[in-house]
Amino acid sequence: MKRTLLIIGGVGIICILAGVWAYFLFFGTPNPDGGVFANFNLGNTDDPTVVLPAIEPEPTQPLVDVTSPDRLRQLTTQPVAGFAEVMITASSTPEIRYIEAGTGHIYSIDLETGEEVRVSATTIPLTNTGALTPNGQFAMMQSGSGIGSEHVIGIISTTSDELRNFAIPGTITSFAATAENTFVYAAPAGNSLVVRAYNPSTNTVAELFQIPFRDATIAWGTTETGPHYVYPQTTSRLEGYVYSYTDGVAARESASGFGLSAVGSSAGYIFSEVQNGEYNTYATNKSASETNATPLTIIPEKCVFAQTDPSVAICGIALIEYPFQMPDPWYKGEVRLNDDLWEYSIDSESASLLISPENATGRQLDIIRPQFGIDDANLYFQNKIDQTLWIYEYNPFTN
Amino acid sequence: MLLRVLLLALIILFPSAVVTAQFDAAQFGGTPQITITLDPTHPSPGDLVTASIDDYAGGVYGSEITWRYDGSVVESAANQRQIQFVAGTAGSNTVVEATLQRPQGGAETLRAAVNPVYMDIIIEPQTRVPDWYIGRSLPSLGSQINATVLLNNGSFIDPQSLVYTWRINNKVIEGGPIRGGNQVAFPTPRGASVVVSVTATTPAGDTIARRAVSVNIVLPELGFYEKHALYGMRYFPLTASTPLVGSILTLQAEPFFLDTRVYNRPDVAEWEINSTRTDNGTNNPYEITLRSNGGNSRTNVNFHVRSLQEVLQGSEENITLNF
Repeated sequence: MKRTLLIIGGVGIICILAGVWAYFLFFGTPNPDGGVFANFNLGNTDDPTVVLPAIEPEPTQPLVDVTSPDRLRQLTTQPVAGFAEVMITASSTPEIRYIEAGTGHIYSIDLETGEEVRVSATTIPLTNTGALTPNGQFAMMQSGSGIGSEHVIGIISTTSDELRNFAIPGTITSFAATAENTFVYAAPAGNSLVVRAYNPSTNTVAELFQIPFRDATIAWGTTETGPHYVYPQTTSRLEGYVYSYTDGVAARESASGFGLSAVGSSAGYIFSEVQNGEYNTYATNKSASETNATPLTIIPEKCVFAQTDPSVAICGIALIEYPFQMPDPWYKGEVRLNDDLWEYSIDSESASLLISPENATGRQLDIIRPQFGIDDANLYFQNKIDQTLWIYEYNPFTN
Repeated sequence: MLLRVLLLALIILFPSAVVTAQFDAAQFGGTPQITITLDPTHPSPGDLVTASIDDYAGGVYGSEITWRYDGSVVESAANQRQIQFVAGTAGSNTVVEATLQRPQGGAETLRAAVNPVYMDIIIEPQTRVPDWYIGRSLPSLGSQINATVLLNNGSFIDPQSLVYTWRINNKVIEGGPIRGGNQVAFPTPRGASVVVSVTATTPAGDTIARRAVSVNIVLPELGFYEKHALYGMRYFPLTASTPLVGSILTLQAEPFFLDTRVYNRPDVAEWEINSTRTDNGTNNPYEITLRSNGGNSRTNVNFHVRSLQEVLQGSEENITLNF
């Protein structure tokens, strides 16, 4: 009896030890990141042959280098809600101003020195979208989302970091800043949208035009007069149509189709749609009244037309086989793209590669919200993956 | 007597009107009129249009046919019974003519006018998509669909000037044609798709345009997204392989294409963590905050939203998270 108990106890101990051994075998890394071998970290040695690693100071500014000679650079490490290259006075040097997502704080980066200054420390909580006027004096921000969202106009002070701000009453579905230092925005009115321009300098509102349906995407032009390209929100399962509004007058463009989205200028527009189970891109040259397939497949939301040459667009393009459900999976975030920057001319119907961000920086960028600076010298855009702001010196000798 | 004299005088003065009224051959099944028919009957700008001579009784037999498009003779279409051409721009008015030179002598010219207009049917399903989602929602069973038709002949045609007849799966809705009724709302019927068609006519009854679109009906979907306390929603859905940083995670269940009424007042909105029903602890039924107990842990999170009146109005998904 006693011997039996001893045997059972011994087997039990062996089983427990085997279990402990198995546990450590499969899960036994208490500090997975602490595995440093042959480094006893003695410190304070008087041996002159020992070289202690220099202690890097904690960075207080974003880990970006705006004065790097590289043409493609990351400007922020924090998510950005909106941005614009601004000139405070006619003689001042251009600077990039951006609205920090979440806080609504506004920062300014001197493009020559790289110095970053916070020009507004007033917190607009849950800021997720924003726009700044080219004179750098006014900001418009969306705080929150859905029914609880609020749209705020901010007046940037030159003497303090306080932002005078007030909310625009009512619902706003889309907004942008214009070259006239005003804001254009769309607000629901019954079963349609009414587009207005708000001038923060004079505190006046002007009605520009009406869109006769609600679920509209507006590819805003750079000025109040446009052209602004409008189409029903895109899905690969429903048909869309493109309308342009110039000086308040609507025109039905010839593009229509499933999965349709577009971006344009006074010279023409680029649109993509699903045809015969394929996601394809076309460009319409308005002066030639011609529509042709582009050599590369483009998501129009990744494009912006140049102001100095409205026939040229810069696009983020991923050289992949696009699924026929596009662009829905990209909208949902189910598809991440690794874009290169391309220049496309609707006159010459040709595309040329500007830069591959992955080759240049080692980072994969899913480009959104491209926007030119003054005189098209710089192109700015955000990376959808982390919402950070980037600059590409498109035409560096302009300024 | 006076009445009889008056009647006799009228018959003598206007004999043709009386004769035509009484003996219209076409009306009584005589020789049918030869016409030009267009396919499509109401083309959009840029459409490829086929114009054919509609001749059921063989009245064209032996005739020499000359086609004219916008006044110019189409040489390549000589003696053809149909021609093809591309419709002009919106608002343009082009006349297609076919001149028939009869073998027994005499000629007849047939005409058809082509007035291309854009007829756009915009479908706006009243289902829910996240606020950050820039695409359009899709209809799911029982949800409401708003449809708008826009006619453009160079500029938008005033909807009040036309009469609209809407059909859903070939059944007229709204009780019949409605003047100015370019917008309608109807519930999504059962099936994989629904055919929405609309005819726009003038108040006098002339058809301006007619079009039909097939609309796919989908089932609601559900995605899990990380909600950052400061920056809001991350725009990429969480998957089992998504690395999670930190010990606290706010998870947002984002229904796509769920009827907005169900989204706002769901009969069922339940979270389960490792198969145990859990109170999410907030007023927002679509949000839950998870805290790690320390160390590596795998947590199975399940969310279920549904209407009990329309059981297909709902979705259930689960995700395994590695803290």
